[in-house]
Amino acid sequence: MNELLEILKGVRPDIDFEKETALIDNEILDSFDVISIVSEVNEAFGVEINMEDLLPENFNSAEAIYALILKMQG
Amino acid sequence: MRIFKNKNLQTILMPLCIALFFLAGNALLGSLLQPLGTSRYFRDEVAVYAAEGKQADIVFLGSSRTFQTYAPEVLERELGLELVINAGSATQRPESSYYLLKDLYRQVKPKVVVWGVQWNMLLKEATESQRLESAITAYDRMSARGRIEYIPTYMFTDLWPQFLDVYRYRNDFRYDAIRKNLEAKAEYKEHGFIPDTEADHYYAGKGFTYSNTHCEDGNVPIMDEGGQIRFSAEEIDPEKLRYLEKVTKFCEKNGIRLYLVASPIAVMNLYHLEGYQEANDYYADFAEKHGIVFYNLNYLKDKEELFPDHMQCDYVHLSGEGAEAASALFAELLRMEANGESTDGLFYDDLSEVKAQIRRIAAVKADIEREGTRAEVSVLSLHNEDVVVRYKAEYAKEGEEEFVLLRDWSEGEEFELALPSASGGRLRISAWSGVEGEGIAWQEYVLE
Amino acid sequence: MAFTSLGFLFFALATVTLYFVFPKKWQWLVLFAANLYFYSTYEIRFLVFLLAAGLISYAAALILEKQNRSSELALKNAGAEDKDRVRRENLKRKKRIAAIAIPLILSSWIVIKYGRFFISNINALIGISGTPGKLPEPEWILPLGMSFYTFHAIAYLIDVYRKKYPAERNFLKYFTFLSFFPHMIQGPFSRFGELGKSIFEEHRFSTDRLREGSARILWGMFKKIVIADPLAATVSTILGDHQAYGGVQILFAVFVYSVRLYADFSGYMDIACGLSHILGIRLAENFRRPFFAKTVDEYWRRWHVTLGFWFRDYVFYPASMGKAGMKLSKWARSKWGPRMGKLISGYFALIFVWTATGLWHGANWTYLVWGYLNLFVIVSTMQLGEVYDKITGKLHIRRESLPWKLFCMLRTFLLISVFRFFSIAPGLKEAFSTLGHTVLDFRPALLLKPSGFLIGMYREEILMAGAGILAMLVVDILQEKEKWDALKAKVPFGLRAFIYACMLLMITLMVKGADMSQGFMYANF
Repeated sequence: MNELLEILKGVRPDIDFEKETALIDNEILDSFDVISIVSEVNEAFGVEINMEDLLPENFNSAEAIYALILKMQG
Repeated sequence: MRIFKNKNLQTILMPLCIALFFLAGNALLGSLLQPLGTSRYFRDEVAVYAAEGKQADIVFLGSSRTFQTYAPEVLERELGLELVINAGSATQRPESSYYLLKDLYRQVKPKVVVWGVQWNMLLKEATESQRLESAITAYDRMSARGRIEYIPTYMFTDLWPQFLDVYRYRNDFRYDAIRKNLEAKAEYKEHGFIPDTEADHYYAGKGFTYSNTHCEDGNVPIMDEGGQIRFSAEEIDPEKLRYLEKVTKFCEKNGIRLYLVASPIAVMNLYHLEGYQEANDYYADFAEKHGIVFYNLNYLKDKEELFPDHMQCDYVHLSGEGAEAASALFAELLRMEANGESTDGLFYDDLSEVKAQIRRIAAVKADIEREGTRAEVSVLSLHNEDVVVRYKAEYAKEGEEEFVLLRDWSEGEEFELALPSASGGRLRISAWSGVEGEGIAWQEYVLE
Repeated sequence: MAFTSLGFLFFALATVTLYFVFPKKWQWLVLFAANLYFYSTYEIRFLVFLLAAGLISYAAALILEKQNRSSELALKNAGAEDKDRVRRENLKRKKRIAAIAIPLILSSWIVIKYGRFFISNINALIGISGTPGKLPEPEWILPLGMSFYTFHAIAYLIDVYRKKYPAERNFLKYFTFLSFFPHMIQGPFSRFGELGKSIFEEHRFSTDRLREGSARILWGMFKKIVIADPLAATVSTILGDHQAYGGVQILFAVFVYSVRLYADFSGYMDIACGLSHILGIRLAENFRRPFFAKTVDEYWRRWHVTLGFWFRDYVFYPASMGKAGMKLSKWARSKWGPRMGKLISGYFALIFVWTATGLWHGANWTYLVWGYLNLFVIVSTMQLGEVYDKITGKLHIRRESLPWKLFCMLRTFLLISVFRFFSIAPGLKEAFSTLGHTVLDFRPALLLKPSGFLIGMYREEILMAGAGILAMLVVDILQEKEKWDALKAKVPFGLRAFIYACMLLMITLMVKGADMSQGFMYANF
């Protein structure tokens, strides 16, 4: 989880990822942020997040992203 | 107020309040934007008579062929009447006449109604804008009470926005126009209505419009009435007929003596319109069936002398001079009636009899195609069948007064002319029967 | 039926009444009928294209869903070694279905919309090569709403492909969504997942929604009739004959064009959203105070936002996260470091986005240039982000200060207006010549003569349009600060009725139509 938070902060240091739960719904992350996060997460966790997974429920909070990663890892 | 906090009540009250404010704004803007004009003067006049409790002896209904033909002052003078009102309005159709009559009856209870009928009054409308014009110009002459009765008949047509002043006069929403309008209205309030006798046409009071312009003899153009030149009983609009009957019934019920009168129009029309006799007979039959009187002033035996072309303002309207003559003539007819004299002898029964007396070419028209110093001319003239028409062509150069003869009187409806100059100038085409003393018809065309 | 016509108001009234009279389970059938009626007031024969797009996307979605479910089943039953193979099989099959359906839906739109453009370019080439003769250029009219429903259909298909929601089994229901009249002519781009759900819920009549929706419709009509329509005169007068005017006037006309377009487009949205709100249906917002954007990038998240979202979800993400995008990203990271690595696939995807966005707006080279201008500014702003930070730091500019924000907004507005030179012009030649003329013959002295600017409008029209623009600005500012709703609730009943009545009066004063103010004195009858 911490690794994830580091990645997220690296992409957008101005966002408090521990608190935010509407990253997509409130358009806090823009599309460039999303693809940056996806590419870094893919690299760091060895998963293959693709467009099918780009649902708000998977990206609205750091927890949701972590849950997605865990799901993809098997 | 607590009542306004209830949401459901608000939903019902809000549109009502909006409508109230809107209509108030409409009334305010209307008073700023409504122009002064004939209809306003007419309305105000009638209101004064109504307030004084006066009763109208005669009320005229009909279109512009009425309001330019019957001069109330002349009739009042000739017949010793107290009040004659001319309630004609532009394009007035039977429906408008009906509602206008009801409104006038409420105000000045006429004893006699003279309805100026015309050969195409009952036909289906040629254009949509005529229907609108008829409604609006009649509406403008009605009192408030009459309008309240009139507007609902148009509520579900596309004409209803016209009854909102703010919509109708929205293009006059300009500071300068409003200022001038208010000034003119202040003047009107102080001095009353002053006719502008110098204008081509001016409102002369009691609904009558006096025309200072007139045609020259033989110079009435051949005109198609908006594409309509045919009367046929099959093309009568049943709605219009319905209102013709409604007016008749209304007069019967209220003890009003009703006349149907066709006012004098240029002789040209009698040759150009198809089914004129049929139209005449239609009104005559209608009148007989309902026990009312029908006069066609075009069938007068001495119409040519009484109403020559120069008494016409244009092909269907009389000039002021002609109107005064027509009014005096009509007064005479009424006087004869009152004395128990028969007026039948003054009229022909048939168009052919009318035409037989016409010893002139009624009108001429030329189509000209000009190329440099050459012109190809194709002529058309209206005349009796036994006449052999001869044509003359004259030309005046650009800026010059004098006409030069190009082609002397000769037969033939298509001919070529050699023009003295390559551009500009005026061409005058004349048509004549060749018989000494018989009238010539002519037209002048400005060439490019 | 134009949205600002009386006929439409009656149609809306009838639809709303029937909608709430019908039993709630069948309310959507009223919409279905209304949609058909609305479409038929334009050109009923074009309905065949709408029907085709609907049938193809409906069928393809059902097939995709069937494929999804059978693969899930297979996945469950498969052993661990087979799972990958099953997934790949599934993907291949789905791709094949999409590869047939999507081009099929797109093709008629592309042919009709871009056929003439394509052929005229070929003719130009033929002309250059000296060969005699020319191909005939078709004069096809784009069927009503085709640029919108085509995209709605494709989005639906892709969403089902991505398992966002199940396919709709009832064709009539799906078609009701596709032919939904509020979003047929100018959008917004709706997603079946949201709008479909909203349409097929049961809706009770609510006086609150009636009031809010009606107010919004009135506001939309006000914007269109009092602000947008009158300003059109100035814009077309100056831009139609730009040689006769100075650069400062032309630039002003382009500014006015932006305001006019905003009033027109957002006014239309207000009517569509207001009407939907009365029905209880939630239509997506398309505008979020675009002129308050501080960068061009932000502008496109405030202007026509559903278009941006559509291209983001169906072009940007696929292009940036697809194999090509990922490869590019890796290569760039190795060459220029991690930052470029992240950005480059985005830039790569943006090229597709702006090519498509440009061409979507029109079949002309000018739109392509316009799209790339936007792209250039957006990309360079991102690339130079650090440089900007350094500069504003050195100049001690506080980014949060109001003056700086205003400066950014004006800068953005100016850039967008410069881009407009291309989207307005009929061709590249005219665009460049107008732009050149503007720059070279600026004539700033004309600013001293204000009457030379709002040409073609009466003083009274200018005042009313001006009052409208001021009102629009105030409302937008309050909405941006999120104070608008609270303020609206505080307005007393009487004052509100008065304001609505004033709006109606202004609308009546400014509406176009036959002028019968003059009496008729001498008709021939």
